[in-house]
Amino acid sequence: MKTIAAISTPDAAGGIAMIRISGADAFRIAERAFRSADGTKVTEMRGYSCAYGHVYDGETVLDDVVLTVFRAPHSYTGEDTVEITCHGGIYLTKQIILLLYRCGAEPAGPGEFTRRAFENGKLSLSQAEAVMNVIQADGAAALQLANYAKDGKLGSEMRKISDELVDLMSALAYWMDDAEECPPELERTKLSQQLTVLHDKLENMAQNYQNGLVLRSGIRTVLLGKPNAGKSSVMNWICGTDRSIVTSIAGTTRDVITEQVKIGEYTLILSDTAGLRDTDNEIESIGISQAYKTLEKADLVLYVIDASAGMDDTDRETLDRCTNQNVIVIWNKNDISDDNPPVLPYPLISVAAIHEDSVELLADALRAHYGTLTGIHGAMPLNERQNALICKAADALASAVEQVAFGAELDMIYADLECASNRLREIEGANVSEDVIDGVFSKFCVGK
Amino acid sequence: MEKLADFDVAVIGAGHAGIEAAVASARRGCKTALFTIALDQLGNMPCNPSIGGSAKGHLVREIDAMGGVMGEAGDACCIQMRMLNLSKGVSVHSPRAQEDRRAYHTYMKKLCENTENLFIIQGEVCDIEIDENQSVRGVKTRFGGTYSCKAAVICAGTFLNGMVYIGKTGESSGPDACLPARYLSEKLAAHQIQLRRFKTGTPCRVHRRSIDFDKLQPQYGDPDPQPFSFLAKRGSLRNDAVCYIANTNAETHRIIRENIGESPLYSGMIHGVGPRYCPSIEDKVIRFSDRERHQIFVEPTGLSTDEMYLQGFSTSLPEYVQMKMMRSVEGFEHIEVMRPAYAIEYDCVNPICLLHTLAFRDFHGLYAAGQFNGTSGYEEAAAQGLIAGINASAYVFGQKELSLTRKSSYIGTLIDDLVTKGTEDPYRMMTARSEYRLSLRHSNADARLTPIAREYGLISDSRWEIYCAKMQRIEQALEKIRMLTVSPDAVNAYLESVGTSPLKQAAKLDTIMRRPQVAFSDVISALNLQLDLRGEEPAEVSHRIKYEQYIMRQDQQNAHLANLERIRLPQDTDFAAVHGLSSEAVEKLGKLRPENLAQASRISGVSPADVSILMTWLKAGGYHAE
Repeated sequence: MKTIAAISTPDAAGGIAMIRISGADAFRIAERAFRSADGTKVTEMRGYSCAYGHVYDGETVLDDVVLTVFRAPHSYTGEDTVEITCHGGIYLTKQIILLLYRCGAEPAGPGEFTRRAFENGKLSLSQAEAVMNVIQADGAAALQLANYAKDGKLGSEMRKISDELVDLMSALAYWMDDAEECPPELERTKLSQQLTVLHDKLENMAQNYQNGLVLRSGIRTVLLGKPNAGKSSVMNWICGTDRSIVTSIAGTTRDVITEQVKIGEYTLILSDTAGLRDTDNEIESIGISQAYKTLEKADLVLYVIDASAGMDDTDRETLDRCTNQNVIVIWNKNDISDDNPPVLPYPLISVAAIHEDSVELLADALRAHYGTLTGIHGAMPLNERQNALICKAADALASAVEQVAFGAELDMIYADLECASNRLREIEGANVSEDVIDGVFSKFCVGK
Repeated sequence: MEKLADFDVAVIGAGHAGIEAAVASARRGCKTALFTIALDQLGNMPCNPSIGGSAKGHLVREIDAMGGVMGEAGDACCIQMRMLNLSKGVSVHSPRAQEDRRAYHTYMKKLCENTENLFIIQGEVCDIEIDENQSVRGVKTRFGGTYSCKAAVICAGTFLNGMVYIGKTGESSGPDACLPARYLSEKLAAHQIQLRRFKTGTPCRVHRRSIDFDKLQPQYGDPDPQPFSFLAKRGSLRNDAVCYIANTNAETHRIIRENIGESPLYSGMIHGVGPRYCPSIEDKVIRFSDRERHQIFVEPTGLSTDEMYLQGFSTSLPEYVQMKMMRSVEGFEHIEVMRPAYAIEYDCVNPICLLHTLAFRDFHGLYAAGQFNGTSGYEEAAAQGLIAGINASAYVFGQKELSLTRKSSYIGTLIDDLVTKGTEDPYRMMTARSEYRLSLRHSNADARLTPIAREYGLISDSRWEIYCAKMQRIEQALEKIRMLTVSPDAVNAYLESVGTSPLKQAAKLDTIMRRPQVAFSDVISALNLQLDLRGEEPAEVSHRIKYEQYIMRQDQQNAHLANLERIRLPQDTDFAAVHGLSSEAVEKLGKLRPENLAQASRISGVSPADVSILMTWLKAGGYHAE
């Protein structure tokens, strides 16, 4: 039996949320994501006991949480179960659940916890009908979601990708099965290209999903820049308070300061960081390394450059590190500089943060980058389970591309396509092999 | 009326399905009758004079691995053997043989005659006697012969109410100018067995002397042909016949388009559903109008005749159009037709009324196999015949009947597809139909199926010994290879010679063998490794190593299905009482009565949510029973 995980509290903002992991690997999976404050290992905890600690994604703390252990059969499902009580908030809980998937959990299907509870004899017969109602309701919701996915913009795109994949598989199946008519030899480079295109489309969808999440729950934004570039005054400009200490002594801000702030229709979860420079000061260098870690998890970087000092190699190096983030450059202190802003491949706002009141400039830059919120919102029919399936399909296609390059036999490569295609069709509950066979007959002139 | 004889099992029809059914039943100790309308057509090949081909070759080897007879007859009467799909990965390699069709008939007739417990009887079965308990009691032939039997296997092929069409002329007929079976359909319908019409077709046979072979491209057999049978010796096959490839052209297509109204298919005379995989030439031309030409394979039908078969040129256009379009083909300018092409329409059953054992779910002792079940092809027929024969005899003996899983074989996949999904057109096996493709190689059919057939008494002691020794040699070789670590010195010269990167440090031999560039036999000889392997065995060991990780992934993929496979659905389940099932699921499940949840999940109209609900419901019932 797979170990499954899901957010058990409603998919809405709230004070706290609960994530449940159930199955034989529950403790090991939790162990990979959780470090307790007192060093207790999850795998060694007794049933019905709790531990306080942090959820880590690599070296980054996602949240401080309380983790409760239930040992089989004394749990809701009758299996080894871990419940993680974390802070509420759609974005945060999704980050944790995605982390758990990466640690080995599978997304729970509709009503799956309840079903397992049932299968393991945890629910009495008198509860049977209630359980069935739950599953039915979940099933109906899943169906609704699938229908929505079919109609929605992203959903129809997913269907398109899925159909293209089936077409490609039909071509391969035809090629493998129709020995008599000797169809032309398959070109591996062309196959590889076609697979790469499909893979990139899926990756793109997963990225859109992330963007959608980001827009719904806040853009993780980090303020970066050299010491004294004026990050804290930019922070204050954006937040409208004196949250960060504004002084002219370089290196004043040593820890990461986080603010949630609304800019136009967007929510930014804004972190101010220590100024980036080489330093002997131990505390400051901790601050700097924290800044880099915060950077890794960020969606958006606001990079502050002191216009009066101009741009230098440290700035360029730092910007080069921001390959996975959106970047907006803030050309700060333009009131005391006559230089023109540099030409960069990023949007740029020229401002004197310390004197500026309106944040419209920034809101415009965000709009240019993220589009209008409603537009993307409407096209977001994926839930996190569907997204996980899409990611797995993308992985299978990546593997197929690798196999083509490796020189693997066609039947081996086909197995990866089958895997990808099954994952996509799982979202709709359709049967792949029939589609492929139909494809062979409708698209190809089969010989014998 | 006085019975002429008492049998355990009666097999109706002596085509490829009927022969396997009758021989398996008789060999297992049942007194078996094999009825045929025309004894001279026993084991006939009314269409292609060939056995095997993509995925079909797999079926033949599986039949052989289970003690069936198609493989040995195919080897004995082979005149050309080729392994298809060599460039596409070993799991889709498939043997295909041209056969001498008269020799094949003679071989099969002799084989049946020499089989103990088997009685061949010429006669058209016109009724199956079924008692009030829905149990088979006997069969009757048209001229009044009555026979008792405990089980019957319907292998009627295309004979039931057969109608042959050429142009707009339709005539009641079986294949190859045999009499049709005109009475059985009606009786089956009276037993509430619903029949439907399918159609198929066959091309012309032409005289060898009328073909200008200089204008065609020859096609020869493999230099070292692989026999079908696991018992045959390599090098034992006759392999000297030559096939040829011709091509249609724009003129051929123009003639077809101009005369399309003369086709009974396009004029609406034939209502039967034809096979999608084997369209007539007019179908190909109309549906794939962008294709400039279609291949025609010119194949000898035997060594004792000059009749040549034109594969890919099946049609039901009138004879004068057939002649015109053939003469437009380069090399066929002076063609002499010996038998015209025709389409044949026949009664068959929707196979969803059958169980995985190929028994009718509503009767006791009644089985069906072959084209009657909606399939197409000699190999698909023989595969079903074998299983139906095993199970008819198991029924007589009161033994547990055999149903093969999808994972075990193409035979299992074929039958599961038929009985859970049904088929809307004549079903042809394809490798794409199996989700276990990578592990279902033709070369390991014995490892997959011989032990199962042994349990059913179809594998003799001597064959079993040969099999066990082979498996032991393979296991030992695998173990030896897996234990071995190779130093860079020992293998780098070879690795560089085939263009793959040399080792920097010692590596396990099996990991080296997984590189696509590395050929098993070459690396073994480069290392001077002594392995006790014979015949096909080195190739098999190589495949096992090279595919190991892919097969593991494939099985992981299918693990969910395998779990569902283990959850059985009681046959008396009242699906309407299962709270929450969709009404479509209730209807389909009630009709098909799947044996387990995996089968249920494959039925169209049964959603994953329905499967969840069934699972929960089953568990609830389980607790109730405790």
